[in-house]
Amino acid sequence: MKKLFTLAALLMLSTPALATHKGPHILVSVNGLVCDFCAVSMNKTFSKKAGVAEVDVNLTTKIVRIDMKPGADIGDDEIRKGITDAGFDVVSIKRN
Amino acid sequence: MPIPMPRSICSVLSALAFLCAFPPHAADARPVSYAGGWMLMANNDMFENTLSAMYSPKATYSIGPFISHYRDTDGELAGMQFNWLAKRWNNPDSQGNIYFLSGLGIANDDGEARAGGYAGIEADWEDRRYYVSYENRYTAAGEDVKQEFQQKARIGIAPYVAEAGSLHSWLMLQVDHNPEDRDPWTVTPLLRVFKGDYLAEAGISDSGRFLFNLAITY
Repeated sequence: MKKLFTLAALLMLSTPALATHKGPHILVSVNGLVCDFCAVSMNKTFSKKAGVAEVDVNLTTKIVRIDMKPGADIGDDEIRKGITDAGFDVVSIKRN
Repeated sequence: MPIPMPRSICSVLSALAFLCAFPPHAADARPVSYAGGWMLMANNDMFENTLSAMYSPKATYSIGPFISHYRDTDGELAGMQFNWLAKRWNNPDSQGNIYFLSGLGIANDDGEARAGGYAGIEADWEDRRYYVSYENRYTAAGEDVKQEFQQKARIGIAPYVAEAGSLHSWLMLQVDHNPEDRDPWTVTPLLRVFKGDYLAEAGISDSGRFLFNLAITY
């Protein structure tokens, strides 16, 4: 019984870790990213898309990192459209 | 006996109340936002108080209502504005823009209404350290409300380079040129701060008058 409780406790503790696990991430190099508002627009553009776990903008490297949920993906065309609709230009898209 | 409050102060308070009434996400003072973005702005300087809301269906134009109260004539102009991003330069470390600004509505002076509007051009360039901008507009709302050409320019420097999500600060100098005014040239040092969705600017002109702007985007 004690082992059962231990197992249940371990499962419960591991659940949040499983929930925050991220899938592959996409690195998009963008021209025109000069202010915090630019970062906000990137976040709003991509964070509402299905399958996106997290969006991070680095204003120094001009890289927008899009973390996907496990098994999810987003096409290059959709990424380019999102960046263009936000008013910026895509330089390159890399996937890890 | 209640003390009557000047209309300009009422306008500022109304603008603040309007902005605070919305649970925001928000802001940069550009006249066009990203596709699907809303922007609320309250601009208050020595010449006027303006409250506006803009929606950008695309990243190239925005449309929305505005109301301006002019201090010297105590007149008002309210209507719809249309802003168009004519050109944007997205460079690796900087961005430049040219906008066409326009508004059309009803001018009101002591209950007397007439058609009015404005048109102008705005250009800006910025990187993460420096900022320059120029704006002009001609307002045609009748002599009793506002009938004049205005232009202003700004230069700014960021004392530190902030990352996304941090507090961004700018020290700016604004020069206003209103040829019709008694003091055609006005210089206003101001502080701009923004973080995420919120932008605020405050300054005092060389004639001792306040400038206070707020912007929030949704």
